[in-house]
Amino acid sequence: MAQGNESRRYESMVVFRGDLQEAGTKEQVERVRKLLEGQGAEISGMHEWGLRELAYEIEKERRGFYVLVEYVATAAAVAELERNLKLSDAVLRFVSVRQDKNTPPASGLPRDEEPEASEMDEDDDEGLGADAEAGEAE
Amino acid sequence: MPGRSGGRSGGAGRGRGRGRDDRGPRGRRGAGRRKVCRFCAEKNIRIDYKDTRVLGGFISDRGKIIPSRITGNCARHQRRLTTAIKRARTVALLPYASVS
Repeated sequence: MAQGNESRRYESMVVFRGDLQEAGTKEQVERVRKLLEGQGAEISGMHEWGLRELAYEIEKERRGFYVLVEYVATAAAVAELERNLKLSDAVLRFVSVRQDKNTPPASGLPRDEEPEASEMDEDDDEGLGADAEAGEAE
Repeated sequence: MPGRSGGRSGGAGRGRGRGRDDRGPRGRRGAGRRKVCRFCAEKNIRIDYKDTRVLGGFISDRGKIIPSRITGNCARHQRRLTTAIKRARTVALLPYASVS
């Protein structure tokens, strides 16, 4: 059962400090990759979202370097990764989520930087906007 | 006399209660159109904590999660939506609070 030796699909998003130099971030990302591989994880996707503005200030930092890793690993491996992330001063925030077997792989780009998929989508967005406005008027 | 007045007040109370019931908790208030859960209506949109574009539509300008009573989301999707918004907040993709 929950012994931690069963491999599952996970995804972790790590936010590194925004004031690391390019080399520093590279090194951090490599560390995460090596750590996971050392734990026997199979990395299926590594997406660097790059420097983004944080929604709120963390440790006086306004920007963070976002990295998204998709992998198949045991629960123990995820725990070990999280332990290391917690210890690292370069990491501002992280979140690990177990993925459903049939969730499509992440697109690698943050949703708000993705090109508009289709005109259909745009219409939907407008619908939502209208809904939200109606809601606030109530 | 005291008995009568007591009875009347009781009746009035019930009457008021009924008046409220007539509109009912599910009664249509105002002239708004019926809201349908957006995630039920469009199966292709996934609720994902990374998707700030979708999530952003369900938070107020102060950063609060908009109640399903207003957005019309069904319970199941509202539940998934809140966890997604909360995850997005942990990684600073969405604000916990914002002053506008």
